[in-house]
Amino acid sequence: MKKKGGAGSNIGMWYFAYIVLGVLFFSLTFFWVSSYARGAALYEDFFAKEIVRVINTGTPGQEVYMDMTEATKIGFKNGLAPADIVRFNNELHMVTVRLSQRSSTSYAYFNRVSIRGDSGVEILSGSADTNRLHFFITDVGGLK
Amino acid sequence: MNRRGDGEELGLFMFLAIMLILLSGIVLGARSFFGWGYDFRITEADQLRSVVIPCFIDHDFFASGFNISQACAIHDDFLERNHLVLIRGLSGSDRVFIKGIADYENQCAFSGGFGNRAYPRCINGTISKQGEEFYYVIASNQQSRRAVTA
Repeated sequence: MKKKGGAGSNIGMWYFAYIVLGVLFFSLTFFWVSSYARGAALYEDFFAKEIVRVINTGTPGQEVYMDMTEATKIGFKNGLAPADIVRFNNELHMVTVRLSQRSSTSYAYFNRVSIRGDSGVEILSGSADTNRLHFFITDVGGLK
Repeated sequence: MNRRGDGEELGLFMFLAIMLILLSGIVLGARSFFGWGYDFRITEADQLRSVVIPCFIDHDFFASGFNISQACAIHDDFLERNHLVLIRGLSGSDRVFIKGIADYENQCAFSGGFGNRAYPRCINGTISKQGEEFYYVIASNQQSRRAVTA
């Protein structure tokens, strides 16, 4: 009866494999949907493009303030510091918005300018719930 | 060795097929609820037009060695990746200026592309300069880049 015993142990192994695959599938799906439900993915995409929209129409010498409250609420909840939320890459002329520890979204601008955003997202004094992004549009090389 | 064939291996395919169907349902459900994201391409094409067309009026795009990046203050490699700037002389003129992905001209002309997110978003029209008519197409297909770190 060795044959039947072998089949029985195989069934146990298959059940185990199904359970592992099922748990893996549902946990990955849960993480994917929850990143949308928390709004991180959507707001990263939205703010990266809105910042690029401002940069594309900007001219050197301009100073920009932009309300980022909706994005920073999510970023702070995910344990990010104000300086980590928006990054400017002048070599790749790209804006990167990060609202979770695990992901970020980038978008490129065409305007031939450099961005100086040392101060990043500022938390306004006297207004705990309002945060804004502050940056300067300068000539390429940052002279102006 | 089990020669009777209890069907566990076939059951795996059934299991994976069910997972695939569930996954498709969840992805479509999430996308239809949260939306497909902010489509910025038509706005970007319009912003690009507002830079390129005045620049075209001021500069000779058909001169040898003309550099649109220098003349119009656009970053050097920007147009090469996901964009098109095309200006073609009408009324018998064969002068053409193309920068970027030339095939976007065909994709922009394809009416089926309007409902398809894989196709670029385009702005076209005509412009006259020194009594000559020109047709232009400005297209963008830039997608945001999402990086996931472990």
